[in-house]
Amino acid sequence: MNEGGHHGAWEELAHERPFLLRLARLQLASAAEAEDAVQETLLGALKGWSGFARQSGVRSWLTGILRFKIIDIIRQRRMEPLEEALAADEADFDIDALFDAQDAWHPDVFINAQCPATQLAQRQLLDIVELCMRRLPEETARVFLMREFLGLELAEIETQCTLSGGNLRVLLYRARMRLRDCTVRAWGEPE
Amino acid sequence: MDKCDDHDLTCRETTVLVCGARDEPLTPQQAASLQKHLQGCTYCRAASRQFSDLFAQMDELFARDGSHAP
Repeated sequence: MNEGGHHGAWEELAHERPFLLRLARLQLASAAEAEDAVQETLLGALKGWSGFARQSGVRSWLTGILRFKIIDIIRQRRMEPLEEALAADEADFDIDALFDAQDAWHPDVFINAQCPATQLAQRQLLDIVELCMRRLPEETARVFLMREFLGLELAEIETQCTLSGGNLRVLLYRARMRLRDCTVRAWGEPE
Repeated sequence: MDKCDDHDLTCRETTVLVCGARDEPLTPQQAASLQKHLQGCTYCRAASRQFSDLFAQMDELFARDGSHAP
């Protein structure tokens, strides 16, 4: 690999490859497509290495580049309608069980754990979020990340995914409730 | 933990507002109802802090500044 005179740059970039690949796989159904997006991200970053100001970490910089690669891929196509995925998601996670008959938090199941920022390193906290994200149903994760990772507006996601505005909002709400449920359980676990 | 003493907004509705504010700004009326509910509900205050920490970590994971503009 020609490093363009930046000794060690490729090693530093390639170190983030597994994370980028996991992120890309959450967003793109095809493994080959995800590989290509990550490879292009790394090669693009290598090319621009001399302009990398290090105001953010290498991972953040690469994540930003990957975001635009994936937006390009997604904008070139339309996803299959997702109504079935939405129904499957509803069967999989029971939000009703979190609340009582008056729609107040159910005291028996409410998890009060707060983020243990002082006990856990920031990287460990992010690992928990990533792990919980990977537990979302596949289609839900894809749509959720169009919003949270790619930053697309709701209207564009509705068009891309052939989802009604109401169903998209329900999907995003359920995904965030699931993520909260998963992360607070991890926060509450003894080390 | 004490039960909520606000009955204008339910805890479930509160979670919808807290999560939805990630995508679209709340109306002044929604924001005021949310604040009122949070003041009177220890559960929702705890849940709101959990969401806030989770969202901050997601922004960091995705290298986003939290503005959510495309």
